[in-house]
Amino acid sequence: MNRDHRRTKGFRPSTQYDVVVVGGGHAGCEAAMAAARMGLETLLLSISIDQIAQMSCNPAIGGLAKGHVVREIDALGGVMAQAIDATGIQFRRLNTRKGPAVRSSRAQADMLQYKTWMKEKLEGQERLHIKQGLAEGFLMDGAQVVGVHTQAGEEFPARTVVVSSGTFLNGMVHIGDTRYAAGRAGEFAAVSLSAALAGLGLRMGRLMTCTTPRLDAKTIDFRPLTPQNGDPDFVPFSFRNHRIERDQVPCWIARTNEKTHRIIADNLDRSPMISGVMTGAPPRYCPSVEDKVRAFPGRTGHRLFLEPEGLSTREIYTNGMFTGLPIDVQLEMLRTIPGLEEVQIMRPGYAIEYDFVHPTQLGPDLQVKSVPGLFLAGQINGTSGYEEAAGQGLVAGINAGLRVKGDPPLVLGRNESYIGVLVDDLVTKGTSEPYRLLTSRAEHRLLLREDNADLRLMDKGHAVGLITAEEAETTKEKARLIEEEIERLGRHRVTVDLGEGAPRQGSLLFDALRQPEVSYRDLTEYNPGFEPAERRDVADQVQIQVKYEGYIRRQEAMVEKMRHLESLRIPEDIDYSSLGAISAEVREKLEGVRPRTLGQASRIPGVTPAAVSALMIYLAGSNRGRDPEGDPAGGGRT
Amino acid sequence: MVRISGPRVLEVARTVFTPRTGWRSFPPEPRRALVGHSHRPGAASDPIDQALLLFFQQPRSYTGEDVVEITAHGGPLIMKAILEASLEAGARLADPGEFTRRAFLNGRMDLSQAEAVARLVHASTDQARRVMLRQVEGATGREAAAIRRNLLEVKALLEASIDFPEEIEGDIQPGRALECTRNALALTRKLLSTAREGIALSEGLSAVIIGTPNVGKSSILNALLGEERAIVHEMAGTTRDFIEGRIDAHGIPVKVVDTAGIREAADGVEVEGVLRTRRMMERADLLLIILDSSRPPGRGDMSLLGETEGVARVIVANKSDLHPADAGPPGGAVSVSAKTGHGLEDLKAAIHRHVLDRGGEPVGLEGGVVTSVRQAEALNGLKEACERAAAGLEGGVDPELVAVDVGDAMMRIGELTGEMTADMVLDEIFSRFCIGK
Ligand SMILES: Nc1nc2c(ncn2[C@@H]2O[C@H](COP(=O)(O)OP(=O)(O)OP(=O)(O)O)[C@@H](O)[C@H]2O)c(=O)[nH]1
Ligand SMILES: [Mg+2]
Repeated sequence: MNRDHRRTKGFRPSTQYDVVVVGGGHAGCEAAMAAARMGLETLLLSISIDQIAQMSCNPAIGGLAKGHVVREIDALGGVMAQAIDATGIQFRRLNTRKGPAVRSSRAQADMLQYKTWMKEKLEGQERLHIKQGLAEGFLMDGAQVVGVHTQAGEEFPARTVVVSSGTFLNGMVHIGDTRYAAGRAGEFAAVSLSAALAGLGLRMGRLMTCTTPRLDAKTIDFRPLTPQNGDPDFVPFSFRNHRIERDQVPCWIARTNEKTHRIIADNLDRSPMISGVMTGAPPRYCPSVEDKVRAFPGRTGHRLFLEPEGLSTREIYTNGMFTGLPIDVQLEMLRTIPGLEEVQIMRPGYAIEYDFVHPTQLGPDLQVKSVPGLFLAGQINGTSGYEEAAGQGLVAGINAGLRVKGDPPLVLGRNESYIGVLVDDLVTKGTSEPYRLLTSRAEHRLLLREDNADLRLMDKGHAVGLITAEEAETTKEKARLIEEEIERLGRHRVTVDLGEGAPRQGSLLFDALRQPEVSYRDLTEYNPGFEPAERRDVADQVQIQVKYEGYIRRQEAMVEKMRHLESLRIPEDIDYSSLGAISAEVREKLEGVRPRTLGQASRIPGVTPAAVSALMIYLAGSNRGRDPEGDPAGGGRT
Repeated sequence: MVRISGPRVLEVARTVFTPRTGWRSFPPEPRRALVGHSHRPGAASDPIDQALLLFFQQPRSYTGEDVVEITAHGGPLIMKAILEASLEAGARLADPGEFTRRAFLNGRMDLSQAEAVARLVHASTDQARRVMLRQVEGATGREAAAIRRNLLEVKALLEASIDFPEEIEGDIQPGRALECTRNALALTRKLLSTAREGIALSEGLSAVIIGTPNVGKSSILNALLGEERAIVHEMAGTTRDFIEGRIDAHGIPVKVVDTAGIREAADGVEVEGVLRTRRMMERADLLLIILDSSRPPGRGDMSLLGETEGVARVIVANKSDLHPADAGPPGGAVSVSAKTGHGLEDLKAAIHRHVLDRGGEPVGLEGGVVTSVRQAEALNGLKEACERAAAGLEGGVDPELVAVDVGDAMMRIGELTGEMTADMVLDEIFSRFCIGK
């Protein structure tokens, strides 16, 4: 065993850990919990124990596609869903006017309670050890990682290491033209760790993101603002919970105006994100307010959501006002907004840039391909969002555990879960901006619903030891009841003629239910002898599955067709420079990833359809056994 | 002319061609003819022929690579010698269509253009040539792109409304998705309407001449061809074998086949002949049923008319130069005289008209044209997917379901143009909407 570092004085505790998790953010918490619950000696190493499970950006969990991930984490045996159910202060279901596949849950959290709850949970977990320390580098045995060492000179030998260090890698905070090295505003950056990762031969990139000013609620006049309330009968995130009993608080909608925009426009050159001081790529879906004003000059207003950060604090998060502008400009623009004329900023918004590891260097188990034993999860892989981080943390923690046990890794398919889509996107496409999950990234979208996360994933959670046999059995029973009920609909018929528009007499109840205006509960009207299933969760699933059936079939046929592209292999020694039909930009992207199949090539961002067809023709030509760039072709006679 | 393409053409050119003035500059000035002699490598003193050499520098050439063209006096012997000299100098013979394939791979043309080049080269009528040229110049590709643009907007609207419902509130014009879907559908229908004539133009039709003996079938074939291809005789049963020729029916290339007359009480050889004629009829795109208008239709004629009812056919009343029989030919028949040539143009027009008998529009003077069954099938799938999407949007179906149909439609466009749709939708969303709370 030797260290990647020159220092030799080192204090080595006697414990040999199975899994060391570096970073106690949302990814680290899931990774550490999963590994410990799988029976492994686990160490969670955090720069600051007080900040475990800190919500560094907005005080909310869930949202579109993200709510799906939270329920998937729950079905696999993770903790995020329970944490938010216990500490949420407002719960809403989004997209309720659209179909079940795209309905997602979102909750405002009491940030302080959330992290307290999580820390308590971690501390109470057997075999999970928590230590404060700044990891600086890795202990190596050949190419394999066998532990970490810290700034304080401690060494922690381990059979596997999960790094989930968030935005701390070489983090640099910008507020206007002020900047300083930090992992989050006011916290250390991990500079050495970033160098250590690069030292392992990993290709690194740089990203940026920004956050919003936090306002003092005492200084806000709420009267001109529109309240946004939670849903009274919200279905909790965790399958273990049946009701949210806590009181809920509202958020408030405010609106920017032309005055606000003028102030922003006049100060654009003072924004580090625009002036060119920052070099990382910004997230497109979470743009700074200065970017919005610049890109959409025609808009006369943007909505802002004022979100309370908790019950025991007056801090208000200004969702929508992400900014890196100087503090005086932040204050000036906020005060143009009705209700905020007298507002005081408690903490300014800031922009942060940080290093990430290009995730195409990872396998689908989130292990670094070239460094056995090293797993990466969360923002270090170029993602943004607590849920994306937690999902990866769970996968990395489970796979680190499985590796220690000598079991095959857990790889979730794109047709099984959003977590599978997320991981597959990262490791095959990579990313050039902070990656966020969207429902449109899931080609099997109709299959991946919040309402069936348990049916999709509980047996997998059980297989790795995070879901009890009893819980898995309950889900199996539910699946069986649903299947039986759908079969029953295929045997019974409509017996009553209710005339125009109603299902035809004699048709199967199954077909009747497929009509848009017919609901499962109505079926008794069409066949008085038919008694609907008693369990509401079963009835809901029957209705959804039957109604979606035709579309799911078409969706799957389409996916199947695209899969044909997967079968077209690209030779490893392909020389993209010989393909003139491909622009220099696209060529660079292809050379970066070197896709193995045409399908993979088509999913690389920026690779145009025209380029894919050129590749296809090129492959067809080279399969005939000839290199189109070899000898000059001659002999065309006209 | 011999054309050579590839990175090493100049080496080849230097070994098989010597300018009269010597190589004043090398490489030679692009697009400027050099006068000199072509010869085998190392045999400048024994030239093959006087020749002109033209150099096109990449990327401004047909293939996008360096190209050299050597033009000589022509004649098979000379061209063969120059070709062999070039091969000796290191070139190799091009595969069929290879220049076009290289042009495509080098980004000089898109797939629909590249496909059309082969059809252009093989066009057998002026109209077919004109239509193929339009494809080579990118007409179909442009229309497919317009359909794709509309669908992309619909997809972006749907996906934005699903993934960013709070951000885009108020930014989406109500009805815009439906409007774009209808645009895509209208464009698709328009393009698809050219399929019948377009496919007929590019692939041609086969028309089989049938009729009872001696009505003048062979005479009509000869008259259409303008030459004495088939033997004509006043004796019934003259034709025993199939005889065919190609004509230009108002732009449509048509292969016309003359057959043995169909007679009911046939013996030995004739039975076999009639059987073969019937098989031929089954495979034909169109039947030309010939009647002799100088006599009332007989039982044979009547049964032929009866059994081909509903089949694609043109009824031809021949021998219009003779005194017509009292009954006259059935309605809709084209009156023709193979002897005088009267009505032949009407017959060609009828053949052309038949192409659009079951729907479709003439290809018109501009715009995209569907020229293969493969394209038509892709467009049919596209049309159905657009129809489902439009119906879904009209009926208030949930956007994630309509998105399935729109995605399906976009994939069909990919099949049409050979281009695969990648992650373009997100790019479209981000350029169109102000996303992010
Ligand atoms: N007056 C006149 N005679 C014609 C015309 N067309 C054909 N005939 C004559 O009709 C006779 C039969 O012509 P063919 O062309 O051999 O007829 P066919 O239908 O091919 O006959 P089979 O091959 O024997 O079945 C010949 O004597 C032709 O000269 C026409 O338009 N006008
Ligand atoms: Mg004849």
